[in-house]
Amino acid sequence: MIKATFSSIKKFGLFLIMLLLLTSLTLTGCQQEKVLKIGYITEQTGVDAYVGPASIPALKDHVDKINAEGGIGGYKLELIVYDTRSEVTDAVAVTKRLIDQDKVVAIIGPSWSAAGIPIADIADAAKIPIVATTASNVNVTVSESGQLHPYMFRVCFIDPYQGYAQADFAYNKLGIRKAALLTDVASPYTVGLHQFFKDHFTELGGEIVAEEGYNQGDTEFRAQLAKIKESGAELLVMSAYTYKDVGLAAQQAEALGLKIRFMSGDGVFVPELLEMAGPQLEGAIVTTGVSENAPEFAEFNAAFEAKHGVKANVYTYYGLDALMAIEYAIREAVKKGEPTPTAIRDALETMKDVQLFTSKVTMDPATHNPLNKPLLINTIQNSQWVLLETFQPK
Amino acid sequence: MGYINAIIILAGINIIAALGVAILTGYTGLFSIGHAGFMALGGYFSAILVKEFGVHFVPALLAGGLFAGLTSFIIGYPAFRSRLRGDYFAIATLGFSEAIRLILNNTREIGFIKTGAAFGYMNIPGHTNLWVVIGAVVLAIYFAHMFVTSQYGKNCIAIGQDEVAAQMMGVDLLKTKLLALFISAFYAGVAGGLLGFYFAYLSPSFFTITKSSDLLAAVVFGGIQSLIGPVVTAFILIAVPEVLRALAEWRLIIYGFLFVVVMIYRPQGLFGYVEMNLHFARAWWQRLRRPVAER
Repeated sequence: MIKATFSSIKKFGLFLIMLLLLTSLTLTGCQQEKVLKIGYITEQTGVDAYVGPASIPALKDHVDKINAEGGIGGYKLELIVYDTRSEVTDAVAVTKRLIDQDKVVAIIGPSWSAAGIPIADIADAAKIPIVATTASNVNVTVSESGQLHPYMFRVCFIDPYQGYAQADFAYNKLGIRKAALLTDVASPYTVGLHQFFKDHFTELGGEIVAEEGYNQGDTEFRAQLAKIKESGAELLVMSAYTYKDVGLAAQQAEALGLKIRFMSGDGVFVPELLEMAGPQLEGAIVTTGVSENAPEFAEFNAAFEAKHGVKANVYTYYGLDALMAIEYAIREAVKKGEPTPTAIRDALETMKDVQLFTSKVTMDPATHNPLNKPLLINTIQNSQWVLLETFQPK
Repeated sequence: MGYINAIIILAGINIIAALGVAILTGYTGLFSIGHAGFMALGGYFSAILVKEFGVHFVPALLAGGLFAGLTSFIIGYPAFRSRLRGDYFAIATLGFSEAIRLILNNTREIGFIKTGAAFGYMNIPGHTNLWVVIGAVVLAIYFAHMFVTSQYGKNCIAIGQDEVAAQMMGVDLLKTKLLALFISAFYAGVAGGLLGFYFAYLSPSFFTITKSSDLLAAVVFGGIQSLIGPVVTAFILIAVPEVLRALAEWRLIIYGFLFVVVMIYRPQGLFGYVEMNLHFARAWWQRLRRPVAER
């Protein structure tokens, strides 16, 4: 037995040495002069694996473009991308890695709120600005006790705003009085959106006739849909975080003979949804901050798909928005002196009418949310996104 | 707040939870794919004690472990009474942990305590640091070692080897199994508490079946009837994906490939049946002391 122990320990020792060698390989990055590193936390694997491939090439292209133009005030930019496996633990670990080992001056991401909330504390402690892309829960930038996270920003609108706009549109424009909610109870995004929809919808005088729930990863919605069918609802609000949920629910609703209009948020605004359940979702309403069908993006989309073989989606645009916000902040910081993380943070906080990829953005210094993000209300016609109207914030 | 710190802390927490699974699965032969549930229970319980009642975090961690241990009887007693074994017990634990996660997902508040449902439980005081975790891991290894070498531990091994034979020898199956489950749930609960105090945030989404199967994988991969195996592999399972991070999406394929290779060439796991001891060091020392000619 001792002999067996011995040999396995030896083998294991060899394995450990190999691991150490590998680590040292990844750790020895030579320090070049005048390089500003920007981290990007994204999902290349796991349930949200469609976020990374559509956004990483776009960000890399943009960084290359800045560098080809001579960088910013003599500084070249470098983008460092890490995968999170769509897990919060990984997102936290890579944030620390970016700050600690790669010494980034700013970080882009994450795309979901459950990761954004713990990461906000890390940003504050390390004093490195982080710009979340699509983490839309209120508590990402302002803690539960109402305190602002000074180093945490985002470039998307928050859930209350979208839920409010959805309810407003459903009640006033579509004339709907009875709505049903099908909520992913495991997703803070969905729960938040639906809560704000419900608050405003009932305030306007509408009625929520059915509230059904499911869990992340569920593929079977027939039981809930049957109840919704009985309730006589005219609108099914299902602002899922992943498009698959809505696609499956739409297919199953058709199979059950339930003819109802769907309404969803920006989480499902990806072309894959149309391929999955375009005909079933005819007439559905999907609200979003940007639309890949907007004519101003047509040229970009075509070039992007031709170059990388991937279709651009909202995560591409939000990623670019975050990167361009950081780019702007670095330019401002360079104008005033050194582009330190704190100087970048200060510039982000005082952003005013800065043209980013999707729109002009003003940062609210009190909440670190973008102030004047328009909301687009889209519908699906012949399996295509069609823009109905633009909801301008007051 | 360093990155290496983060890896060691996350790995340490993983080690504590894996030790719990090792006692239940590695020694007693009861497969659990639901230990994330116990982690969730312990984590939320200790976080609530500290945040809402101002308890010091060390007693709160122990209380969290105890709470997870006690709740394990809810599933343990009926399951062992009806002699649920093997796959059946594994499915029961899976159901239990999924139920806990669903309850947490749907619970906005318990009385005046806002657990936040899917939004997660926020603003937990951040007590976990490197030294706390290292201390906890050392204690966890020490107590696990004491347990498996004790009479109770030997009873567990006997059940793991052959239940009928163990019963013939006078081992009380129900009590011994409940004890093993209690201790393993206690470990998971403490690990969950440490996790909450580290992130300062707990969300039901941390405690999915993936977490449970990672823990089980650490034990099976590390080796049955061994403590050093799960300890080493629980560390490796956190460290390898981090080391391979430069390879982006390929790293998970390599990670899976490693699993397959090990399971083909060492079906008993890396350290199967190898107990944690210092015999090899002694043997090495004696070899060194011998005259060169005899070596």
